[in-house]
Amino acid sequence: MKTHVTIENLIVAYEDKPVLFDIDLTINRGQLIAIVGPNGAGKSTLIKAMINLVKKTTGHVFFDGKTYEDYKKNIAYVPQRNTVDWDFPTTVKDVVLMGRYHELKWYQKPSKTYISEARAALEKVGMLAFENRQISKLSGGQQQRVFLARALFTNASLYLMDEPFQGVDDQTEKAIIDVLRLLKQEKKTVLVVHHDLSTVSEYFDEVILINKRLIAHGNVKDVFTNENIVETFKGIKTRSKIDV
Amino acid sequence: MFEFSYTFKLVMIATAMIGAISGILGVFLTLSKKSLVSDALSHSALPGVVLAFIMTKEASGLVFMFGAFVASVFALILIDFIKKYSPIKNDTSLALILSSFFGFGQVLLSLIRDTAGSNQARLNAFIFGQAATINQTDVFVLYGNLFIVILVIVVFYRPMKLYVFDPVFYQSLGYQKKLAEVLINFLLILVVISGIQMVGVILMSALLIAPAIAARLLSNQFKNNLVLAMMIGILSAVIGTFLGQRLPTGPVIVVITSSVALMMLLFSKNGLVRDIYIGFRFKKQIKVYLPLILFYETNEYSHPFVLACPTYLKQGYVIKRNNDYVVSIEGVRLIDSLMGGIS
Repeated sequence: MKTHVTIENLIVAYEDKPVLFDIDLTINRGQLIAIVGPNGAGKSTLIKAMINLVKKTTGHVFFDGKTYEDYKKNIAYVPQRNTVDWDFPTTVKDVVLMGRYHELKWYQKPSKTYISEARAALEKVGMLAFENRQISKLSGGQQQRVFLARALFTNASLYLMDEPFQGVDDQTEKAIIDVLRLLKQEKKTVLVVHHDLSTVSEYFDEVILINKRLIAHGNVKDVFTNENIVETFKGIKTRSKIDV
Repeated sequence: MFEFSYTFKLVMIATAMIGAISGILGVFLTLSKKSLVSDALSHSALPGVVLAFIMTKEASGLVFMFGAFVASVFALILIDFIKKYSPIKNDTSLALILSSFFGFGQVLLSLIRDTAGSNQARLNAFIFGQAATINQTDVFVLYGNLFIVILVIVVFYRPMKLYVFDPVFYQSLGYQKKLAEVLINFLLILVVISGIQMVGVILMSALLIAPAIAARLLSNQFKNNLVLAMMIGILSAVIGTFLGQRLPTGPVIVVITSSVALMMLLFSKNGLVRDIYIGFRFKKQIKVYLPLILFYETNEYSHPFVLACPTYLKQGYVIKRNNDYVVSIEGVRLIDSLMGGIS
């Protein structure tokens, strides 16, 4: 199995407190990987640091041996959906078209292929019927699927998703899983910040357990053990029952 | 029929251009929640204008514009600095910068009261604006500013739009983090310094915000928002200039744009009146048709129910089939529309 992403000695600090401490990871190509840990464990920060959305205090990240700057066209990021104002005056299709704005010169109109690929991405998440809908009229789950379609449209080889399953309906959850499996078939690597411990084994191949430090990383079978989970959530009362 | 003076034509052209650029930029500002920044920056321009006069002893539009530019940039840097390095909340720091700069400007104005002579009136005009002070050079500079604003927005349309909608994703596409922000701020300052001579530092932000609000209520398309806000800006400016022959031009323009925004707030298709009406109608209908919905959902074709609600039969929402009563297609449609797809 070929290495896709290497993270070396990563430390991220907000002011004087480390959020992530001394993370070393190698991520293999074509895997569905869950990033699991308690609130404030630095899960979102980990993927943000990978793509320079937050500043690394120390450390390096390499993608196929390249730096982020040389590799960024191959990375698709799905932000948490509450980071944007859904009252923005635009349609579902237009949001997806934004996924490859960086490929268009300022005087270029989106070509027919460009648009049809965007629509194909919408179809994959079951949102093609809503392509002309005002985005303020979407449910939370539909918003999430639009974000996912936008990421699919970028045609990346590495996908970083920040809590896509957060507060979505069953239909959306199923749509997201279908997309994850599709991406796996296409040998893409997918990193997902994930909250629901009960679905980790079902949805993912590998798991990264973090709580500021790396607790464990590997196949779900091998490392998603009670012992590691307890270690990760140590000192934190969780309402969700931990049993694997 | 109409004979317009040279000054009147200049004022007309100038206000129309200011209306256009503030309308366009206002859309970016309101959508990125920067309305208050525009207010702070325009107020901050006042001490810059007065200082520029004190230093050069020259009362020309270009000197004032330069002074206003420097002061606004300085204010913007301060706002960002406070945001980054202090625990003070952003709105608080905006209020602080706005009032302190404006106060400082007033102090400077009173300091030069004895020395400024006839220029005092021109400087005072920056507070509420005075359209008639405009001259040919100012209009040329305005043409330049209009050209820059439109050029920047045409060339950087996509990155700026994406930044306003989703700054995190914008950055993840590899766009320079600062690019869109600097562009929007730069254009904002350009528009502010273009407008304050005619509209005044106090009212300038209304000219930026009001057309954008009206446009947002009229259209759900980003591009149309830009065009509509621009047109509302121009139209208000033109009408305001006509009325401004007897009244102060700047305030009149602001009153017109604000009235348009208020009207849209009330009467547009996204407006309050329609919202309230729809809510009211729904409340009434759900009361009237609740038995019908329950009847449909439980599927109990009971005669007493239909007899109790003979209006449903009359309206055709319930029909008699064989010896039973069933909900008709129209009835199902009505229920579907009332339940918003959840039934």
